[in-house]
Amino acid sequence: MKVIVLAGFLGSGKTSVLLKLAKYIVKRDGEEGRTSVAIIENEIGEVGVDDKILRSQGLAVRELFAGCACCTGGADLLSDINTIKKEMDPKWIIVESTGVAYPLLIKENVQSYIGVDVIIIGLADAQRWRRLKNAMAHLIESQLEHADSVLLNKVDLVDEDTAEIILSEIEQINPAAKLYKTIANKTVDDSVWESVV
Amino acid sequence: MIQVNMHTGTHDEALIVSAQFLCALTPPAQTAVLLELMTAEMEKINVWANESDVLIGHLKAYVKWPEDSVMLTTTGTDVQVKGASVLPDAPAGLDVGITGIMYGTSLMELEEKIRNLAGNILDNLHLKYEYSYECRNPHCTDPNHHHEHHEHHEHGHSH
Repeated sequence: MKVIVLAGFLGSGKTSVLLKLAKYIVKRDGEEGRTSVAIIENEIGEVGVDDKILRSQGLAVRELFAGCACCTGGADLLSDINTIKKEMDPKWIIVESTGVAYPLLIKENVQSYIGVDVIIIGLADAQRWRRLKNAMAHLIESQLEHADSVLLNKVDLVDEDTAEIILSEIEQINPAAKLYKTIANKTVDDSVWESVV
Repeated sequence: MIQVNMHTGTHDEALIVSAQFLCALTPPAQTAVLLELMTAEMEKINVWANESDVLIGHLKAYVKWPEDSVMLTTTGTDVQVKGASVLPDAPAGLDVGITGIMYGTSLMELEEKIRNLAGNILDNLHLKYEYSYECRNPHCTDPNHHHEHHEHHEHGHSH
């Protein structure tokens, strides 16, 4: 079993990416009698919104409302992962972190206490990149700097030159990450997912 | 009487306010009216945020009923409406939830905006309602955790 942490600021398109990624994994790794992917949806606030859309697509979803998985909800996240492992033993667990989470803390926590491989996929919002980078550089950079892959999402809302400039800035934040341009609410090529997971 | 459940929290500098209520409207006709009202109210918050230099992290909402559900989402520009489909746990009537996560304002102001968003919708639908404030502070001494608005913020809520 492997864990994917989906990270990125609020409104960057994590739930849309999750839907596409989960469907790809089900298609690629689906086996009779075994769940290929389970989802832990960590939403900030007491009212869950994103889980509704995921459940409606037939995905196995657990909600984590006890707090943010990178801090106050860390213990509950470990408990949820252990429960899913025992009850479903999926090939993959995807954790959609809150848009204000620091994914490295989640990765370290899960690796230390559960001992499974953790992949971080970071999302950057092309449309709001400049504003968010100016307003909260520390959080935005922290969400991307330890990612194995970064998806620059919503590239249809900026011109090509702007997208390339943003990609070069992300490359400076995280030179090791694989970078992709995506429009997750439309379509994402399978080759992206093949490379990411 | 409809109970509008209000929740507040913070995470670093992010301010988080949610509202949730159940009402006995009849889908789909009244649902369409509610969605129009919801979209208009979310657009009002976008205008306020842009004029006040408040950063909208995410403003999102759901409306679900036994046959379907709809999500509304905005980050300060347009309000996008996304259809879902049948949900196994949808209640009778309509279940409505709204969450605003913002930067650069106060928790009190954001709570007022989200409270008014829910209140304006229910006023327009001519439905009676009252607000309920949930306190998650372990030091709170009110066993019902129902506070007047001004008291709510004195308890130092945290995420």
